[in-house]
Amino acid sequence: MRGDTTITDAVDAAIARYPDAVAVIAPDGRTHTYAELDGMADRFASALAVRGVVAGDRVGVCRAKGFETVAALVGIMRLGAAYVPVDPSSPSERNRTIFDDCTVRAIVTDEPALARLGQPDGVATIVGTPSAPHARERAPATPDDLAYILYTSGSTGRPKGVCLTHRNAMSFVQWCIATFAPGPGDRCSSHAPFHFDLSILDLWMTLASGASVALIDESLAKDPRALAAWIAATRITNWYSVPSILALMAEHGRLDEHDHSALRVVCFAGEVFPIPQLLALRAKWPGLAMWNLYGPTETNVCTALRIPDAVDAARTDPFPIGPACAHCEVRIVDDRGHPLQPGGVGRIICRGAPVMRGYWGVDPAETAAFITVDGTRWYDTGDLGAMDADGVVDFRGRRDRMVKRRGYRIELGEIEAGLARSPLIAECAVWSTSDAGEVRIHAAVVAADDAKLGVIALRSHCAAALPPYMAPDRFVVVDALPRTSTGKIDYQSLRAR
Amino acid sequence: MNDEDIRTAVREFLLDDALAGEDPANLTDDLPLRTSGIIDSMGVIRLTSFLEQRFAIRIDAHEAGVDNFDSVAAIVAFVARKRKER
Repeated sequence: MRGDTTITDAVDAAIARYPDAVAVIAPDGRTHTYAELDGMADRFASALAVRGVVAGDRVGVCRAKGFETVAALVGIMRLGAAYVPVDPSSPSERNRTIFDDCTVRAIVTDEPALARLGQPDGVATIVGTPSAPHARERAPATPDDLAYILYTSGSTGRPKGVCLTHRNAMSFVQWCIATFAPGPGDRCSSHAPFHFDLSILDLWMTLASGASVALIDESLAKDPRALAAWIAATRITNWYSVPSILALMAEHGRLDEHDHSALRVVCFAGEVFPIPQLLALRAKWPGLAMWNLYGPTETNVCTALRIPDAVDAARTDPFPIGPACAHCEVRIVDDRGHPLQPGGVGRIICRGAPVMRGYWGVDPAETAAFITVDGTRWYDTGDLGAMDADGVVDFRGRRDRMVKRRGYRIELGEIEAGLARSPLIAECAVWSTSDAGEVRIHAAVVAADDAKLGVIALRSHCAAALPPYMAPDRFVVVDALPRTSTGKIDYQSLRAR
Repeated sequence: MNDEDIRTAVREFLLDDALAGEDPANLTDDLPLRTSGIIDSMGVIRLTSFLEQRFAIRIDAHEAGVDNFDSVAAIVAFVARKRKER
């Protein structure tokens, strides 16, 4: 599991071996074989090559989920370029900032997404489906070339680009294939959007193994009832998502009304799965393998725990995140990088093949999250944990102002920066609370002169300035922000409101 | 139960849930709720659960989209129609 290959080579091997197997089940239910994926990927590669894309370039992807979008990702990588996926429903300003930051050579998009994004200056676009290729364009990448950049929330309000190589991805994909044993005939869900790191397992584990990836579009993804019906109708065998949608399905999905007997593996990651909802789901889906996966975008998945088949109904503590996966090393260390005794709470750090190359445009030597321990480079996740004598890690929260909600990483500072762009708001402070595993985001806002601040106005502003998952759950309008004696915002006192 | 009762219930729920603290006068019948981002998908899930219990109707997944849930007026018309279908 050293990832000594590329995503492109792994997918090409599956295409050669299983040309007639179904590779992609589109959101509309239509199926597309591996041979069709091959042809459509070549169309994108050819169209991008004509527009000047060469090995080492970045190509933006701002496009609804669909068969063609998957093919575009393969096509981009066939040119030795890296794909940069963004959320078409995010504010266009944020997406343009991302594409400017990593200087994309071209953007793959569709009509509705382009209308929202706006025609970018000096960047070629491919809108919709390109025509048939003139040639099979190939510029093979090496395992240490960049495969994709995933942008995550940045504390200063500016998203930061996590740069991942083919080796970073394939070391994780090889671990997934060894652990979950997918193969032809399996139907694996793709619930996460492609700018979210859960998509790496959905897409590349599935398409490297001859199984079918079943795409869930944005309208279906948040609807627990429709999803429960879709899982049954599509006869999904492998599911992977954030816990929050699984919890909603357990509560609102009418799971009893559906035949989910095809399901054999259910994985979740991205946030803590509260125990009451996990127990409810386990009761409705007995007998299948459930896995809790952990790892920030920067490391792919680095620990994993198989949830026991029988869970004590009196249990209240969330499950641990598990021992390190076979493709990396994980340690718990103190602030000076010294390993802690079993049970000691410290920083979760990781090294090995799945760990990112760095952030786009930032010298790795200047990246605070990279620390040197025993003469080698480790990634400090910013998460806190404790490891038992068997190497099983228990997650104990964050050191900074990052929170996870519905699986999304959110820097509270980015929300503050987004709110502050409103002419209605003079100043603001954002904090989070967690009640029985449910994370809520609160914002205290001070109105600009004469502005009347209501929830309707504030939410409308958020929809224009922030991705939907960053919008605060609750607003408190205050005359002034509470401050400590040193003049800093007093978050302690805000929490009491 | 008439449309006005439904309207009152929908408004009370929204002003208590997603729009807590808002001046009720600002929640007009035709204010776009979904397309404006004022109510998110989680808000719709809570609203549909409330409507199902309160009005003894069953809302199918495909019905909870923008067509039926983008404004108070649309929600009221939708609930009234579902009650007649029972």
